[in-house]
Amino acid sequence: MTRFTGQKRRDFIKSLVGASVAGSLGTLGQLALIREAVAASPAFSDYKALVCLFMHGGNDTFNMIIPTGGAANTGYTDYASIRGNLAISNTDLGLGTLSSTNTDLDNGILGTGSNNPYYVNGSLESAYLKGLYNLSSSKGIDLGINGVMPELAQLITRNKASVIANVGNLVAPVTRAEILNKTANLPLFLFAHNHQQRALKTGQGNNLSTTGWAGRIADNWIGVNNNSTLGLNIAYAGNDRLLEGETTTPLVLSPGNPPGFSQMKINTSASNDDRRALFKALAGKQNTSVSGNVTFDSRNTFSTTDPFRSMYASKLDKSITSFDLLTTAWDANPISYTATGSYGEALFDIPTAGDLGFNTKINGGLIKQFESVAKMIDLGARDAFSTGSYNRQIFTVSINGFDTHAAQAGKHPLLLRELSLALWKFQTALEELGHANKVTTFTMSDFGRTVSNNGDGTDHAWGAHHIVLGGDGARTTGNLNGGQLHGTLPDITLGGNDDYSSKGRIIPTTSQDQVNASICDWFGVDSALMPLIFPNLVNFQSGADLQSAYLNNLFSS
Amino acid sequence: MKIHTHLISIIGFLVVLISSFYSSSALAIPDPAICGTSYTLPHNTWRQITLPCKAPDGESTLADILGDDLPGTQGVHWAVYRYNTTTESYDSVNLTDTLNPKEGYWVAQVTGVTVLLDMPDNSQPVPLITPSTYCSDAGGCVEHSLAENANAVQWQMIGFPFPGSFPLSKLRIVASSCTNPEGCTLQESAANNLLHDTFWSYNGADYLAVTGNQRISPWYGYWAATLANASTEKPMLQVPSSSFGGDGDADTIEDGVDNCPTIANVDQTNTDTDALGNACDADDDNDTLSDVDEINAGTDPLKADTDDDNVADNLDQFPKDSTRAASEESAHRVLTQASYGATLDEIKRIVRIGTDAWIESELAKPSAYDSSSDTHLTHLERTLQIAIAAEPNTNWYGTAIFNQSTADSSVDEYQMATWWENAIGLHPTNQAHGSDQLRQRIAYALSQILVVSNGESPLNSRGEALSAYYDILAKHAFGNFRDLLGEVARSPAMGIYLSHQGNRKANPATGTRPDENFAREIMQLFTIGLYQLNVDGSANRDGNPMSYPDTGTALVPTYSQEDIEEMSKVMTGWDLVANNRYGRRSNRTGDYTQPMEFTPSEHEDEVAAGGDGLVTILGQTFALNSGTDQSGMDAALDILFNHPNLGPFISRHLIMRLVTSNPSSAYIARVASVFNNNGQGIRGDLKSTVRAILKDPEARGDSYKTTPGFGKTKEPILAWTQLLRAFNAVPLDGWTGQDRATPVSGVYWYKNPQRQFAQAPLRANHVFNFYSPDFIPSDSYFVSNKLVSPEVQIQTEQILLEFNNRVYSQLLNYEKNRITVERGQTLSEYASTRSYWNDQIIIDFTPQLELFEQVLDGDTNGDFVNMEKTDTDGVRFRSKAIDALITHLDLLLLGNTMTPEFRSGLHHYLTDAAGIRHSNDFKEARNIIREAVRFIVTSSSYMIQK
Repeated sequence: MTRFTGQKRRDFIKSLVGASVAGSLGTLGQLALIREAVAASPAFSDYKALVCLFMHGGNDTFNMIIPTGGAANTGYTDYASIRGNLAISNTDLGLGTLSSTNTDLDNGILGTGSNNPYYVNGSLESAYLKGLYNLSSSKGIDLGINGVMPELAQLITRNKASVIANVGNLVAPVTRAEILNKTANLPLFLFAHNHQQRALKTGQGNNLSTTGWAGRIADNWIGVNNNSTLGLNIAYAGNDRLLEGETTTPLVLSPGNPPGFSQMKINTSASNDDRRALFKALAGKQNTSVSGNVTFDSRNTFSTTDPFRSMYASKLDKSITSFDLLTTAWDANPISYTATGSYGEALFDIPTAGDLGFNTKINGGLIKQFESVAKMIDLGARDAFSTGSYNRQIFTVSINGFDTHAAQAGKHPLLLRELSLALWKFQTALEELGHANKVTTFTMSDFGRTVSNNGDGTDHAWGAHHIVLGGDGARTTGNLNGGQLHGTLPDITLGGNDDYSSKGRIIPTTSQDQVNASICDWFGVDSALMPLIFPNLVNFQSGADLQSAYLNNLFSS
Repeated sequence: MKIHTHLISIIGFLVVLISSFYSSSALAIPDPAICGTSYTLPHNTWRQITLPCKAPDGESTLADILGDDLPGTQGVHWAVYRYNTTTESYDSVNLTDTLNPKEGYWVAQVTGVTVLLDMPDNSQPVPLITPSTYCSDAGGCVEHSLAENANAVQWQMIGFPFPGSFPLSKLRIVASSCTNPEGCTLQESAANNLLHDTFWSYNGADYLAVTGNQRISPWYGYWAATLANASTEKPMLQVPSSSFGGDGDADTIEDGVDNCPTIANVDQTNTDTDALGNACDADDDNDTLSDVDEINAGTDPLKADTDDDNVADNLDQFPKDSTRAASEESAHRVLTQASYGATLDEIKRIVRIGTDAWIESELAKPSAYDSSSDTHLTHLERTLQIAIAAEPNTNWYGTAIFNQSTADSSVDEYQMATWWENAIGLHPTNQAHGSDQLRQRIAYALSQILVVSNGESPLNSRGEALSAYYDILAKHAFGNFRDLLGEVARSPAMGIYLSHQGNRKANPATGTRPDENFAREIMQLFTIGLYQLNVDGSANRDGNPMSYPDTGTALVPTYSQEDIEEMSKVMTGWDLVANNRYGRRSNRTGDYTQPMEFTPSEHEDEVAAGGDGLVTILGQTFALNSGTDQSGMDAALDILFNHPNLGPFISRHLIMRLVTSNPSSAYIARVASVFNNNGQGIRGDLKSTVRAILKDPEARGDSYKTTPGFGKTKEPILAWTQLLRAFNAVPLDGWTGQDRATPVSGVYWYKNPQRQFAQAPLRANHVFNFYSPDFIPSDSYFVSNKLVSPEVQIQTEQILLEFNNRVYSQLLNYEKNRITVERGQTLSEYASTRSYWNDQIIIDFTPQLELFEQVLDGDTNGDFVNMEKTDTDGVRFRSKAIDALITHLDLLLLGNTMTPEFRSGLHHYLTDAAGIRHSNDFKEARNIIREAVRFIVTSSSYMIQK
């Protein structure tokens, strides 16, 4: 069969479905068959997972990854002068010591309480500003990682994570001159949280109403994972646009052990089987109780032509089916990690405030999400769902609270600390489970924040630095080439070359779509599908083909 | 007719009218007019009118003459067109265009009611030409020039401005070919190829020929046609003044005082005492139903309330049945839309009084905000009362300010309990609380626009801030949006949540500038949104919010980053009362219940930056120190309040929260127009807006229940309150409070419901509320039709499961008979085993048990005999009891919408399933009831409201 490009392929499907076809298949049946024939998932033989870590509110990554170099406009001097009382001190807190033999994080002896390298009397504000881990000597990168993030610094020096400088939501490359002349091709509703989040998730900065880019991958990989009910996309970050397709929908879970329906657990008793049978019948599915007394046929099974009721009934049915599958596999495959966390705590335990050397504890929600994702990856990679071929998963996790207009010095360190711990724990778990090279984790956030300071915090802006995490650090072919700086450090001066106007809303120099496309390329999205997933990618081509828009050497080749 | 379609089709509609000229029947034209009289313009029909008089100078525009009479908005609620003889097409008349006597106009209105049109005060009859050769009448003549078209027929819309009617035969045509100095008759002028001998009028359905002695009336417009020779002869119409007046219907009552001048009615009977006698009145009893319709429906056309049940026929679904004014289904429906859930009593009440009267009674209910001394406590008062009773040993007033020294996070839970009490509205002693169901629903809906959340510290330890905030919403739920906005902007909860509390002017020395947080969100989320809107909620791309739909793809942003930076300067200088240092943000300083206070020295004045102290927001410039408090706040809020986006923005949101996720644009336009002007010239009146939402045909009309895109997925927490109200939920009394000692009573206790429902009031994860208003479920119908269902966004597979399990545990454990009969405990014995860390709301299946037993064994003594017996027809009593139970639950929970297959499946399960049967007949009956409720409440039939 001719290979169609994405959009044409969809049109082809529509034309087929629109035609009248003789036979007993209903339209939906035809659709399923045709889709399977035309838009089937590639025949994967390996397992890979993507994990999108979304930092809600707009992470001030200019205080997470700090310029340490001496260059004018992009270096520390300008940063410190503009940031004023929110500038992180350019003091190297000595990651070198931490990572030397016997005193590294792997052995769970980061040092609790006052032994934390960033510790200042338990004060969040002081710890936040105390210093950084300079990457210049170890990696030759003129950046420092905020002192409250020793694990992140270590992940970079160990080549398990890379920094992408000044990424953001773009439709096409833009310059300050174009913005001032009002000729720039700008994304819709810059600086507004929800719309900037939306644009990053649709993968199209000038289209906020389309499906999510991961949802479109699922739409086009019909039958992936051998048609498992679990599908491709699993959210621990709530139901957001990234994973929503036109014909596919993510499974949205809360972290922790998946619960079962009360008194309706599969294979437990005749009365529970009868409840399940009624529940399904009222959700529109004719069925007979597996071990009980009731049976539901067309005369006593709910049916409706109302779109709302039918949509909701499908969700109910999917809910019970999915949790049957999940709980069965989950309960049968317990995991017990031998590795511990930075303070010697059980790997996914949340360190206490005392261990952290803070006067306030961290929320810990992100850590719990990563714990569940690690287990889901393990179940998927080992095909614990017994599909026969379980190949691809996309997960979302999230951490909230980055909208630091006020009290930034008190709030931001808690978030950065949790971020650092969570990434470390997740990476450690994947290494222990043997899945490190199968998983790529990447961060996104609404936007970066103003370089300028409102006295107590920072405001909505645009470009920001981000992290890609994965691989086992060996950087063998096909795996993440960690320890790199990609992209360009921006001119951060107010009214400078990269400023939107005069408050330090930095114009991104790399599109988030470029980063995501590079990762999707690794994940197995082929070049024919890529323009459908990231329609604006073509605007960033530097050469003849779309691949020229990808980041160079994000993965080892 | 839907307005949208209506206006789109105007041009085509009128073309059709012209082409149907020659279908005519007998003419009947009333003749009541003088300058001071009015013209009755019915709802939803086109009329041709003219002005009977000349408006005073300076008051002669459309806006002056008709615009003041027609409610709502031109282009949405009404339209006026004139006929352009040059282009031979219709032109919409602009509000500023002058209306001329002698010209005819098309006018229509769709406000839902009859509208009276009148002339401005001091209007005068049009000057007459004086007697002359061509006007032999000593009183003078009306003269009228006509448009003409060379060698062709030229239709035109005309009318006669004069205080009385006249027979068409009195009309004279002055032209050179008319040898009679006083002009030709119409017949002569037709023969001379000057003017067609017939005029045409329109009665709302057909064109009617006017000829001979039929009368021409003031206020009425007519089609006339000049003929081929008119372009050279320039004929002039004249009517001698002596032609006016008289008694057209020869009933001995002079036209000027005849309540039906066209039909003889000597008795002048006028049942409804309006301007028209019954002989001329299409609706004799003024109940808005036409006499013809009433006769066809079998109701009394001479009686507004045929069945004497105090519900007018037009508002009565059963106008001939004095026991009912609404169906049970309609009653359940309005309760689902506008309360926290139907109860059997409320359903019965609405069946008796009708939905309209119920809505009015809710809008008129007393509230906690009428008097500060009665037992109807505000949310804040009740929260404090609970806190003090539950923790008597806590030193709540370590300072003069409640909870300042304690910063006790349990106050957030007492606030939540207060919310439950006002939502559930069934408190055994605090009966006033939640009696104002609609007000409380609107407050909750508003809390999802003007979002604050206890997720932002220190609101998590100063829960009184949340109660005070909710009081603002509830107080203004039927008030004015501008007042609401003013109080919200100054509230501690909002100040903390969006960080303008403690915001400061720029300081060049430290490089700081004002925080933009509140400045942005008040525009984006609370008032005007991101792009310009038409009054129907669609994107306004042509600059005119009254014309829609607009073509094109480019949205027009409402504001720029510069507007936000200017607004951020306004939002400086505000801080908590009794804070110990300006801008401090601490859970142990400040008063979280008083409006924030203004500190001028911290307010941006632009002095440091050498500015002029003026800001320009959305093109309007004002001083940063303007207003009585010199904060500039009110000037900024006024700009937002008067922005055209506000009406459609707020209206759409409220409709979506109450009635339907995908309202038609016409529905939004109707409601937004009421928001824009409540009929008395007041903008932002929420009571009128809520009334318009709930009484709209789209909310009340039966046909919408089967419209595919109509309706909404229920919010989980409202699905929950509906369950609780249906089964008379009350607090468990006597559980042990947070201090592990104090027995707590009379408190609806369910903390952190967001764990099960992914939502709880004032507990959203972010300022964008629980869900996105444009969330489209991944469902082919919703995707292909671009239908949203925001509430589905949080109803993930896991939340469906959590909701299901929470329902199950409530029904299983927290039901009165389970405790008192099955466990054999008193409620207080049971309560003594329970504490702060459990949920404490008890439902009651007693009515269902009694109903079941009554059918089963004919009594309610609790023995439940006959469970296994059959009646004389061989039908098991148990089966009959199950039938009766399902019928009852169908009404109570589904408003009688259960499908036969659903009923059959449920009956099968309740009859045959394993786990239902029990050796104890009482327990078996309770099993049946519990399982029936569980599976109804967790079904799509319950979770979708149509």
